[in-house]
Amino acid sequence: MDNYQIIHFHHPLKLKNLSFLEISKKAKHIDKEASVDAFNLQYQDNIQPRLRTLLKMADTQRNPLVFFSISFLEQLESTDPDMLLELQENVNKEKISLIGSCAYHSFSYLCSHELFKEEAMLHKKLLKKFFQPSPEIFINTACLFDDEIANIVQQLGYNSIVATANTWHLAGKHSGQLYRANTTDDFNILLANGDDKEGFQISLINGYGSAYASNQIDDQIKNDVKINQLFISTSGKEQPVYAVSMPLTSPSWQYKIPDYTNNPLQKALLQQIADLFKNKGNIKDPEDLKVLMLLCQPDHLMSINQFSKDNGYNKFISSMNILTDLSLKYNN
Amino acid sequence: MKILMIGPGEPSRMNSGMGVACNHIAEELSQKTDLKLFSPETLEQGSKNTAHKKNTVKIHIDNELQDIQKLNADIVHIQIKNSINPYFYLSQTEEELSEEENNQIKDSLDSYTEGLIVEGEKIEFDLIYAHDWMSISAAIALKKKFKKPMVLHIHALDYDRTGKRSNSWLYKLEKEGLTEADAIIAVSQYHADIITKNYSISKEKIHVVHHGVTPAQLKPFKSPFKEPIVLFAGRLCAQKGAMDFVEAAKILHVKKENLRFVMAGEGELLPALINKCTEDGMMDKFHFTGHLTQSELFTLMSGSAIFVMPSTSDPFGLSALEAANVGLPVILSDQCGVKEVLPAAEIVSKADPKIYAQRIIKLTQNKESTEAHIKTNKEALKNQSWNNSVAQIVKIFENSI
Repeated sequence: MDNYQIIHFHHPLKLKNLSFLEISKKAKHIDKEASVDAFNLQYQDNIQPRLRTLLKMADTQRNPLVFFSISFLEQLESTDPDMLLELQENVNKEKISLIGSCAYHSFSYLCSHELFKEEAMLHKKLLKKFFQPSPEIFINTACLFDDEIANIVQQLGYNSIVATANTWHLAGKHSGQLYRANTTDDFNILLANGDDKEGFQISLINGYGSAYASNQIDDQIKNDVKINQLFISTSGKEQPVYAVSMPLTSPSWQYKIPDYTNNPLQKALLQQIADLFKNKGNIKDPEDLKVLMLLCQPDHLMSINQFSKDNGYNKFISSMNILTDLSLKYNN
Repeated sequence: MKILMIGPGEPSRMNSGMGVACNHIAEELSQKTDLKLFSPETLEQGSKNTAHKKNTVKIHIDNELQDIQKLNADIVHIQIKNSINPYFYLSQTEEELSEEENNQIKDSLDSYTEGLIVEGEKIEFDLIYAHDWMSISAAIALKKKFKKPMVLHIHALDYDRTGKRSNSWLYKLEKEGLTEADAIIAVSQYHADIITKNYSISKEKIHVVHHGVTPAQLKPFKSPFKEPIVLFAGRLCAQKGAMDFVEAAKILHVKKENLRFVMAGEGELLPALINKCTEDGMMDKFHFTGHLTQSELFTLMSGSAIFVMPSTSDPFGLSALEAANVGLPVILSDQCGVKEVLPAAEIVSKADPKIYAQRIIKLTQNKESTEAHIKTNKEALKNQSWNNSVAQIVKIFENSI
């Protein structure tokens, strides 16, 4: 029976096509116009009704749990500031609970752990511009989890995480239970949203812009116990360890990890992003860091696919040109 | 003289070098003759305004004849499968077309041929001037019906793509066309010899007309890189030696030679090339540009240091001619036609990436001799204009009528 529901709101940002001949010509990499147009096109019919549902859930004490990406909040501020105000009021009054994640809902963890740390830190930091309460619980993009993620997320000040519970991996463990991380102390893992339909579930819902398979917000779900209290209520007891050596994602996410990482173009791109981030330790310009994170967005990685023929190759080439552009900027 | 030309009227991503050549030929011919051009309709928008456009009739071609992936530009035949293939996708091989796909292509060709014949019957002409395999069937039919001479201009053959004489329907079609033609124009002596040897065509029928070159109108490109750029431009396929270029780059990268490598073009080997560059740790010095327009390519050439064309068999190699015209030193495979008009080109007789690497080092380290190389080639190209090439073609027409 579904007891909880985490609703994800994200606004994927588009990157401009950069040709080889435009490298080092101070071109802008983020296509702000196209990104804004895409959001505004969907706002009236798709996004606003869902936000209204969220507000209704807050009004009726359902205590909804929500992830907002930074790009979503920034665009909402521009498109419908009144709606943002209402959301802020409800969050600040703790009628809506926030959950922490990656600023741009990206798969930066699959590229570079350091880049992921930057992105998660950025989410926490920039969320403060919009809301007073800070999230205490983390959920990675696609509920991606392994032991190292627990380590990193704890360093960011979180003390708990929602992780995927797959029965084939659980070997006797159950979703809905609290576990300790394998690699660090005082860090709790709540197993959720597994493929065991009979067990405890936290449904992971695509409010907008995410790739969770379900976009049906159940406005009847009431989080009887605030999720962070769920962690607190059982802490202090001896928790069993949940060890995951390789990343697992939620079965509720539309595609599997290899779909984002395994073809030669995707591998090459992720490797280059990781190398650039590692070697150019002085990438401090937030816009440039943002571009690296945006290159790891799930739909961007999915678009770089040899099977999408021309478009996939062109997107790859453009992405590599962007990386070259950044590399030259920091060389100079 | 009324000429019915059957072939692409403008360059596109599908027809590459042949498209560029036919575009120039049509432009010049329209000044010298009464030209009617039957050209396949393409999916691309924004085609160039050219002098001959008002004389162009577009004939519909089915998707099968436009599908780059299936046809590999204009390839319809198969290559021998490489049994050692560590990658899950096909890298240096092309998948054999199924019988059904072959039949679809043949049906599409028949339909295109019908369209050409229907249009051909509406006009008067003194001579049929056909380009490559897609035009052959219609050219033969019009020749027989109207008893007019046919000149067949060959840019590439099934033999070039497969590396061997095959028994495919395409080979047979080409042989029929070459046999029926009253005169054949080959783009190089290298290719004329291939036609004679592999299609059993008499030498007397074959006339060599090298491609011309126009003064490059380009926006100069100042490379943003400290390292000189070594450039490959062409289809990313086995025939163009794309993998040899990457292997040569790897040798130079391991030696820590201060160079950048750019591959301009698209093709089915792209994933394999990227994978190789990634595995060899070269991706930070290696760039793929994808498809570039002619003017973008010239611009890129102007900012490059060396041009390499390691083709396994190239009837001509127009991109090398253009590179030399822009002022690049060129390194060519022995198996190409363009070497006949570039006397100073570095010619590599064995397809060995080590040798290509050595020649690249030679050109980067010997500034004086490289300058002399460039100067000699540029001198040689002074008379290599499209106007002169087409004047030769017109003479062939006159002798055929």
